[in-house]
Amino acid sequence: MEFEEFFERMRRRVRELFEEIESEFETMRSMWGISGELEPLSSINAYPDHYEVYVDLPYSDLDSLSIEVRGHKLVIECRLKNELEFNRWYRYRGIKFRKYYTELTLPPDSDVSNIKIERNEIRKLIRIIIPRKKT
Amino acid sequence: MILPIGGVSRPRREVFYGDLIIYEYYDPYLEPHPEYLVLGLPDAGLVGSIASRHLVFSKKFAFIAEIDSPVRLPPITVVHNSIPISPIQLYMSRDRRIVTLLSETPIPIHTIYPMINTIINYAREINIKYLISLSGIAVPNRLQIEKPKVYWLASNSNARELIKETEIEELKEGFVVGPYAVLLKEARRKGMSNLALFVESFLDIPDPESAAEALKVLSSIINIDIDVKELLEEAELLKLKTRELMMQTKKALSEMQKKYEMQMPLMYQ
Repeated sequence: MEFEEFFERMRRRVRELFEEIESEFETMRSMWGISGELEPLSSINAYPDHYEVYVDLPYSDLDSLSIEVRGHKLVIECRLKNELEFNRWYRYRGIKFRKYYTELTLPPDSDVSNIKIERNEIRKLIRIIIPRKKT
Repeated sequence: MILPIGGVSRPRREVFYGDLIIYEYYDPYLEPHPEYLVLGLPDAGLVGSIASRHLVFSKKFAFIAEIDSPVRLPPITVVHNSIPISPIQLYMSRDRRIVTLLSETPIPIHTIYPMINTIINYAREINIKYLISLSGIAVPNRLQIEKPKVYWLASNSNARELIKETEIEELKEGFVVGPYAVLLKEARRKGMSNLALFVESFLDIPDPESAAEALKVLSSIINIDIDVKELLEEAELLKLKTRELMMQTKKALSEMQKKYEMQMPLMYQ
Protein backbone atom coordinates (compact mmCIF):
# COMPACT_ATOMS: atom_id res chain seq x y z
CA MET A 1 0.00 0.00 0.00
CA GLU A 2 2.75 2.41 0.99
CA PHE A 3 4.59 1.48 -2.18
CA GLU A 4 1.53 2.29 -4.32
CA GLU A 5 1.07 5.62 -2.59
CA PHE A 6 4.72 6.43 -3.14
CA PHE A 7 4.42 5.67 -6.86
CA GLU A 8 1.23 7.68 -7.11
CA ARG A 9 3.00 10.66 -5.48
CA MET A 10 5.93 10.21 -7.87
CA ARG A 11 3.61 10.08 -10.90
CA ARG A 12 1.85 13.24 -9.75
CA ARG A 13 5.12 15.09 -9.22
CA VAL A 14 6.48 14.04 -12.65
CA ARG A 15 3.23 15.20 -14.26
CA GLU A 16 3.49 18.55 -12.44
CA LEU A 17 7.10 18.95 -13.57
CA PHE A 18 6.14 18.29 -17.20
CA GLU A 19 3.32 20.82 -16.92
CA GLU A 20 5.72 23.42 -15.49
CA ILE A 21 8.22 22.81 -18.30
CA GLU A 22 5.45 22.99 -20.93
CA SER A 23 4.11 26.20 -19.48
CA GLU A 24 7.62 27.71 -19.44
CA PHE A 25 8.07 26.90 -23.13
CA GLU A 26 4.61 28.26 -23.84
CA THR A 27 5.57 31.55 -22.15
CA MET A 28 8.87 31.89 -24.00
CA ARG A 29 7.51 30.93 -27.40
CA SER A 30 7.07 33.74 -29.90
CA MET A 31 4.20 33.96 -32.34
CA TRP A 32 6.45 35.86 -34.77
CA GLY A 33 8.91 33.68 -36.70
CA ILE A 34 12.21 34.97 -38.03
CA SER A 35 11.52 33.30 -41.36
CA GLY A 36 8.47 35.53 -41.86
CA GLU A 37 5.85 33.16 -40.48
CA LEU A 38 3.18 34.21 -38.02
CA GLU A 39 1.46 31.82 -35.68
CA PRO A 40 -2.29 32.41 -35.74
CA LEU A 41 -4.50 32.37 -32.65
CA SER A 42 -6.43 29.15 -32.41
CA SER A 43 -8.66 27.40 -29.93
CA ILE A 44 -10.31 24.04 -29.70
CA ASN A 45 -13.68 23.36 -28.12
CA ALA A 46 -14.82 19.84 -27.25
CA TYR A 47 -18.44 18.72 -27.68
CA PRO A 48 -19.84 15.23 -27.00
CA ASP A 49 -19.72 14.18 -30.65
CA HIS A 50 -17.23 16.57 -32.25
CA TYR A 51 -14.44 19.11 -31.81
CA GLU A 52 -14.47 22.64 -33.17
CA VAL A 53 -11.20 24.33 -33.98
CA TYR A 54 -11.19 28.08 -34.56
CA VAL A 55 -8.26 29.66 -36.34
CA ASP A 56 -8.05 33.44 -36.66
CA LEU A 57 -6.25 34.62 -39.80
CA PRO A 58 -6.59 38.41 -39.92
CA TYR A 59 -5.04 40.23 -42.89
CA SER A 60 -4.76 36.95 -44.79
CA ASP A 61 -5.68 35.94 -48.32
CA LEU A 62 -8.07 33.08 -47.61
CA ASP A 63 -7.84 31.91 -51.24
CA SER A 64 -4.34 30.66 -50.38
CA LEU A 65 -5.53 28.69 -47.32
CA SER A 66 -4.17 25.17 -47.10
CA ILE A 67 -5.19 22.67 -44.42
CA GLU A 68 -3.44 19.33 -44.42
CA VAL A 69 -3.93 16.37 -42.09
CA ARG A 70 -0.68 14.72 -41.04
CA GLY A 71 -1.37 11.88 -38.66
CA HIS A 72 -3.09 13.57 -35.73
CA LYS A 73 -1.94 17.02 -36.70
CA LEU A 74 -3.59 19.74 -38.71
CA VAL A 75 -1.08 21.76 -40.68
CA ILE A 76 -2.53 25.15 -41.56
CA GLU A 77 -0.91 27.64 -43.89
CA CYS A 78 -2.22 30.88 -45.36
CA ARG A 79 -0.52 33.82 -47.09
CA LEU A 80 -0.98 37.40 -45.91
CA LYS A 81 -2.70 39.92 -48.20
CA ASN A 82 0.58 41.82 -48.38
CA GLU A 83 4.01 41.45 -46.84
CA LEU A 84 4.30 43.22 -43.50
CA GLU A 85 7.31 44.82 -41.82
CA PHE A 86 7.51 46.37 -38.37
CA ASN A 87 10.86 48.11 -38.53
CA ARG A 88 10.34 50.42 -35.55
CA TRP A 89 10.11 47.29 -33.40
CA TYR A 90 13.74 46.32 -32.69
CA ARG A 91 13.01 42.62 -32.27
CA TYR A 92 12.00 41.79 -35.83
CA ARG A 93 13.65 44.64 -37.73
CA GLY A 94 14.20 43.76 -41.37
CA ILE A 95 11.92 40.73 -41.34
CA LYS A 96 9.10 40.56 -43.87
CA PHE A 97 6.09 38.63 -42.60
CA ARG A 98 4.44 36.72 -45.42
CA LYS A 99 2.20 33.96 -44.09
CA TYR A 100 0.51 32.21 -41.21
CA TYR A 101 1.69 28.74 -40.31
CA THR A 102 0.67 26.45 -37.49
CA GLU A 103 0.56 22.77 -36.60
CA LEU A 104 -2.27 21.82 -34.27
CA THR A 105 -2.24 18.49 -32.46
CA LEU A 106 -5.69 16.96 -32.37
CA PRO A 107 -7.12 14.83 -29.55
CA PRO A 108 -6.60 11.08 -30.09
CA ASP A 109 -10.31 10.34 -30.72
CA SER A 110 -10.55 12.81 -33.64
CA ASP A 111 -11.95 11.31 -36.83
CA VAL A 112 -9.62 13.09 -39.24
CA SER A 113 -11.22 11.44 -42.28
CA ASN A 114 -14.41 13.49 -41.90
CA ILE A 115 -13.21 17.01 -41.33
CA LYS A 116 -15.46 19.90 -42.37
CA ILE A 117 -14.07 23.39 -42.92
CA GLU A 118 -16.09 26.60 -42.81
CA ARG A 119 -14.59 29.96 -43.73
CA ASN A 120 -15.80 33.36 -42.64
CA GLU A 121 -14.40 35.57 -45.38
CA ILE A 122 -15.30 38.84 -43.68
CA ARG A 123 -13.86 38.03 -40.27
CA LYS A 124 -11.01 35.93 -41.71
CA LEU A 125 -11.83 33.15 -39.28
CA ILE A 126 -12.02 29.49 -40.06
CA ARG A 127 -13.97 26.86 -38.19
CA ILE A 128 -12.90 23.25 -38.52
CA ILE A 129 -15.39 20.64 -37.37
CA ILE A 130 -13.89 17.26 -36.52
CA PRO A 131 -16.14 14.36 -35.52
CA ARG A 132 -15.13 12.24 -32.52
CA LYS A 133 -14.69 8.52 -33.03
CA LYS A 134 -17.29 6.42 -31.26
CA THR A 135 -15.70 4.09 -28.74
CA MET B 1 1.28 59.16 -28.06
CA ILE B 2 1.58 62.62 -26.57
CA LEU B 3 4.27 62.61 -23.92
CA PRO B 4 4.93 65.10 -21.13
CA ILE B 5 6.52 68.42 -22.03
CA GLY B 6 10.22 67.93 -22.57
CA GLY B 7 9.76 64.30 -23.61
CA VAL B 8 11.43 62.32 -20.87
CA SER B 9 10.72 64.01 -17.57
CA ARG B 10 10.58 63.19 -13.91
CA PRO B 11 7.16 62.79 -12.36
CA ARG B 12 5.62 65.83 -10.66
CA ARG B 13 4.34 63.61 -7.87
CA GLU B 14 4.38 59.99 -6.71
CA VAL B 15 1.21 58.74 -5.05
CA PHE B 16 1.57 55.55 -2.99
CA TYR B 17 -1.26 53.08 -2.46
CA GLY B 18 0.43 50.26 -0.56
CA ASP B 19 2.81 48.58 -3.00
CA LEU B 20 1.36 50.32 -6.04
CA ILE B 21 2.63 53.75 -7.08
CA ILE B 22 1.06 56.27 -9.42
CA TYR B 23 3.62 58.54 -11.09
CA GLU B 24 1.94 61.78 -12.19
CA TYR B 25 3.17 64.01 -15.02
CA TYR B 26 0.32 66.52 -14.76
CA ASP B 27 -1.45 68.62 -12.19
CA PRO B 28 -4.56 66.65 -11.17
CA TYR B 29 -6.02 69.57 -9.20
CA LEU B 30 -6.23 72.03 -12.06
CA GLU B 31 -9.79 72.84 -13.07
CA PRO B 32 -11.89 71.47 -14.61
CA HIS B 33 -11.52 68.19 -12.74
CA PRO B 34 -11.87 65.09 -14.91
CA GLU B 35 -15.34 63.56 -14.68
CA TYR B 36 -14.84 60.14 -16.23
CA LEU B 37 -12.20 57.46 -15.87
CA VAL B 38 -12.51 54.96 -18.74
CA LEU B 39 -10.85 51.63 -18.08
CA GLY B 40 -9.33 49.46 -20.78
CA LEU B 41 -7.78 46.46 -19.08
CA PRO B 42 -7.07 43.26 -21.04
CA ASP B 43 -10.07 40.94 -20.82
CA ALA B 44 -12.26 38.84 -23.15
CA GLY B 45 -11.58 39.70 -26.80
CA LEU B 46 -9.35 42.60 -25.65
CA VAL B 47 -12.48 44.73 -26.07
CA GLY B 48 -11.55 47.31 -23.42
CA SER B 49 -7.90 47.46 -24.50
CA ILE B 50 -8.72 47.99 -28.19
CA ALA B 51 -11.45 50.52 -27.40
CA SER B 52 -9.20 52.54 -25.05
CA ARG B 53 -6.30 52.47 -27.50
CA HIS B 54 -8.58 53.88 -30.19
CA LEU B 55 -9.93 56.53 -27.84
CA VAL B 56 -6.40 57.65 -26.91
CA PHE B 57 -5.10 57.76 -30.49
CA SER B 58 -8.17 59.13 -32.26
CA LYS B 59 -8.86 61.89 -29.74
CA LYS B 60 -5.16 62.62 -29.18
CA PHE B 61 -5.24 62.14 -25.43
CA ALA B 62 -2.10 63.16 -23.55
CA PHE B 63 -0.04 60.78 -21.43
CA ILE B 64 -0.47 61.95 -17.82
CA ALA B 65 0.55 59.16 -15.47
CA GLU B 66 1.72 55.57 -15.09
CA ILE B 67 1.19 52.87 -12.48
CA ASP B 68 4.04 50.67 -11.33
CA SER B 69 5.08 48.46 -8.45
CA PRO B 70 8.36 46.92 -7.34
CA VAL B 71 6.55 43.90 -5.90
CA ARG B 72 3.10 43.60 -7.47
CA LEU B 73 4.02 43.78 -11.15
CA PRO B 74 6.59 41.99 -13.32
CA PRO B 75 9.73 44.04 -14.13
CA ILE B 76 8.49 45.22 -17.53
CA THR B 77 9.17 48.53 -19.28
CA VAL B 78 7.49 49.35 -22.56
CA VAL B 79 9.29 51.69 -24.96
CA HIS B 80 7.31 54.15 -27.08
CA ASN B 81 9.06 56.82 -29.14
CA SER B 82 12.29 55.90 -27.31
CA ILE B 83 10.73 56.66 -23.93
CA PRO B 84 10.68 53.88 -21.31
CA ILE B 85 7.39 53.76 -19.38
CA SER B 86 5.22 51.34 -17.43
CA PRO B 87 2.79 49.18 -19.43
CA ILE B 88 -0.04 50.59 -17.25
CA GLN B 89 -0.67 54.13 -18.42
CA LEU B 90 -3.15 56.96 -17.91
CA TYR B 91 -4.13 59.46 -20.59
CA MET B 92 -6.28 62.58 -20.51
CA SER B 93 -8.48 64.34 -23.06
CA ARG B 94 -7.63 67.90 -24.19
CA ASP B 95 -10.61 69.35 -22.34
CA ARG B 96 -9.60 67.41 -19.15
CA ARG B 97 -13.04 65.77 -18.95
CA ILE B 98 -11.92 62.19 -19.58
CA VAL B 99 -9.07 60.08 -18.24
CA THR B 100 -8.35 56.67 -19.75
CA LEU B 101 -6.40 53.90 -18.06
CA LEU B 102 -5.00 51.16 -20.25
CA SER B 103 -2.62 48.30 -19.75
CA GLU B 104 -0.37 46.76 -22.37
CA THR B 105 -0.01 43.57 -20.30
CA PRO B 106 -2.60 41.53 -18.40
CA ILE B 107 -2.87 42.36 -14.70
CA PRO B 108 -1.47 39.43 -12.66
CA ILE B 109 -4.15 37.67 -10.63
CA HIS B 110 -2.70 38.59 -7.21
CA THR B 111 -2.47 42.25 -8.20
CA ILE B 112 -6.11 42.63 -9.23
CA TYR B 113 -7.55 43.54 -5.82
CA PRO B 114 -4.80 46.03 -4.88
CA MET B 115 -4.89 47.48 -8.40
CA ILE B 116 -8.67 47.96 -8.31
CA ASN B 117 -8.50 49.55 -4.86
CA THR B 118 -5.72 51.83 -6.10
CA ILE B 119 -7.85 52.87 -9.07
CA ILE B 120 -10.86 53.58 -6.83
CA ASN B 121 -8.81 55.55 -4.28
CA TYR B 122 -6.97 57.53 -6.92
CA ALA B 123 -10.20 58.29 -8.81
CA ARG B 124 -11.63 59.67 -5.58
CA GLU B 125 -8.44 61.67 -4.95
CA ILE B 126 -8.67 63.45 -8.32
CA ASN B 127 -12.46 63.96 -8.08
CA ILE B 128 -13.51 61.52 -10.80
CA LYS B 129 -17.31 61.17 -10.79
CA TYR B 130 -17.70 57.98 -12.81
CA LEU B 131 -15.54 54.94 -13.51
CA ILE B 132 -16.56 53.41 -16.82
CA SER B 133 -15.36 49.89 -17.63
CA LEU B 134 -15.33 48.65 -21.22
CA SER B 135 -15.30 44.89 -21.41
CA GLY B 136 -16.05 41.94 -23.60
CA ILE B 137 -18.37 39.20 -22.40
CA ALA B 138 -17.61 35.95 -24.15
CA VAL B 139 -20.48 34.25 -25.96
CA PRO B 140 -20.11 30.86 -27.67
CA ASN B 141 -21.90 31.89 -30.88
CA ARG B 142 -19.98 35.12 -31.46
CA LEU B 143 -19.06 34.08 -35.02
CA GLN B 144 -22.73 34.02 -35.98
CA ILE B 145 -23.54 37.39 -34.35
CA GLU B 146 -23.44 40.31 -36.77
CA LYS B 147 -24.01 43.14 -34.29
CA PRO B 148 -22.80 42.31 -30.78
CA LYS B 149 -25.24 43.20 -28.02
CA VAL B 150 -24.18 45.51 -25.21
CA TYR B 151 -25.22 45.03 -21.58
CA TRP B 152 -24.59 47.33 -18.66
CA LEU B 153 -24.18 46.93 -14.95
CA ALA B 154 -23.84 49.70 -12.38
CA SER B 155 -22.38 49.82 -8.89
CA ASN B 156 -24.96 52.36 -7.66
CA SER B 157 -27.94 54.50 -8.65
CA ASN B 158 -25.70 57.38 -9.62
CA ALA B 159 -23.95 55.27 -12.27
CA ARG B 160 -27.32 53.89 -13.36
CA GLU B 161 -28.46 57.45 -14.15
CA LEU B 162 -25.80 57.64 -16.86
CA ILE B 163 -27.39 54.96 -18.99
CA LYS B 164 -31.02 54.67 -17.97
CA GLU B 165 -32.27 56.80 -20.89
CA THR B 166 -30.77 54.40 -23.44
CA GLU B 167 -32.33 51.16 -24.71
CA ILE B 168 -29.37 49.09 -23.61
CA GLU B 169 -30.23 46.11 -21.48
CA GLU B 170 -29.04 45.68 -17.91
CA LEU B 171 -27.14 42.51 -17.13
CA LYS B 172 -29.46 40.55 -14.89
CA GLU B 173 -27.84 37.26 -13.92
CA GLY B 174 -24.57 35.39 -14.30
CA PHE B 175 -21.01 35.30 -13.08
CA VAL B 176 -18.53 38.00 -14.06
CA VAL B 177 -14.85 37.21 -13.65
CA GLY B 178 -11.76 39.41 -13.90
CA PRO B 179 -10.65 42.93 -12.99
CA TYR B 180 -13.98 44.54 -13.97
CA ALA B 181 -15.84 42.05 -11.80
CA VAL B 182 -13.78 43.12 -8.77
CA LEU B 183 -14.19 46.78 -9.65
CA LEU B 184 -18.00 46.54 -9.71
CA LYS B 185 -18.08 44.84 -6.33
CA GLU B 186 -15.51 47.10 -4.65
CA ALA B 187 -16.99 50.27 -6.15
CA ARG B 188 -20.42 49.32 -4.78
CA ARG B 189 -18.95 48.69 -1.33
CA LYS B 190 -17.05 51.97 -1.35
CA GLY B 191 -19.88 54.07 -2.78
CA MET B 192 -18.05 54.86 -6.01
CA SER B 193 -20.01 55.12 -9.27
CA ASN B 194 -18.92 52.46 -11.70
CA LEU B 195 -20.74 51.71 -14.93
CA ALA B 196 -19.57 48.58 -16.75
CA LEU B 197 -20.38 48.05 -20.41
CA PHE B 198 -20.19 44.40 -21.42
CA VAL B 199 -20.19 43.71 -25.15
CA GLU B 200 -20.71 40.24 -26.59
CA SER B 201 -17.34 39.10 -27.88
CA PHE B 202 -14.99 36.26 -28.57
CA LEU B 203 -13.14 35.03 -25.50
CA ASP B 204 -9.71 34.41 -26.98
CA ILE B 205 -9.72 36.26 -30.31
CA PRO B 206 -9.23 40.05 -30.38
CA ASP B 207 -12.58 41.62 -31.22
CA PRO B 208 -12.33 45.15 -32.66
CA GLU B 209 -15.98 45.02 -33.83
CA SER B 210 -17.12 44.58 -30.23
CA ALA B 211 -14.70 47.34 -29.17
CA ALA B 212 -16.38 49.61 -31.73
CA GLU B 213 -19.80 48.83 -30.24
CA ALA B 214 -18.46 49.67 -26.76
CA LEU B 215 -17.18 53.01 -28.08
CA LYS B 216 -20.50 53.84 -29.74
CA VAL B 217 -22.29 53.42 -26.40
CA LEU B 218 -19.55 55.29 -24.56
CA SER B 219 -19.79 58.22 -26.96
CA SER B 220 -23.53 58.49 -26.37
CA ILE B 221 -23.30 58.44 -22.58
CA ILE B 222 -20.37 60.78 -22.05
CA ASN B 223 -21.06 63.09 -25.00
CA ILE B 224 -17.89 62.62 -26.95
CA ASP B 225 -17.78 62.12 -30.69
CA ILE B 226 -15.79 58.94 -31.40
CA ASP B 227 -15.39 57.89 -35.02
CA VAL B 228 -15.01 54.09 -35.15
CA LYS B 229 -14.60 53.93 -38.96
CA GLU B 230 -10.83 53.99 -38.69
CA LEU B 231 -10.88 51.33 -35.98
CA LEU B 232 -12.91 49.01 -38.19
CA GLU B 233 -10.62 49.73 -41.14
CA GLU B 234 -7.52 48.77 -39.20
CA ALA B 235 -9.27 45.88 -37.41
CA GLU B 236 -7.45 43.10 -39.27
CA LEU B 237 -4.00 44.54 -38.65
CA LEU B 238 -4.87 45.26 -35.05
CA LYS B 239 -5.93 41.64 -34.56
CA LEU B 240 -2.68 40.47 -36.09
CA LYS B 241 -0.61 42.76 -33.84
CA THR B 242 -2.42 41.85 -30.63
CA ARG B 243 -2.22 38.04 -30.95
CA GLU B 244 0.34 37.71 -28.18
CA LEU B 245 -1.45 40.04 -25.76
CA MET B 246 -4.59 37.99 -26.43
CA MET B 247 -2.72 34.75 -25.73
CA GLN B 248 -1.30 36.09 -22.43
CA THR B 249 -4.69 37.47 -21.46
CA LYS B 250 -6.32 34.10 -22.15
CA LYS B 251 -3.80 32.48 -19.81
CA ALA B 252 -4.42 35.12 -17.12
CA LEU B 253 -8.20 34.75 -17.47
CA SER B 254 -7.92 31.01 -17.12
CA GLU B 255 -6.00 31.50 -13.85
CA MET B 256 -8.81 33.80 -12.71
CA GLN B 257 -11.35 30.99 -13.24
CA LYS B 258 -13.00 32.73 -16.20
CA LYS B 259 -14.84 29.45 -16.79
CA TYR B 260 -17.30 30.51 -14.08
CA GLU B 261 -18.85 32.89 -16.61
CA MET B 262 -20.16 29.81 -18.47
CA GLN B 263 -21.92 28.58 -15.35
CA MET B 264 -25.44 29.33 -14.17
CA PRO B 265 -25.39 30.72 -10.62
CA LEU B 266 -26.89 28.56 -7.91
CA MET B 267 -29.33 31.28 -6.83
CA TYR B 268 -30.73 31.88 -10.33
CA GLN B 269 -34.54 31.68 -10.36
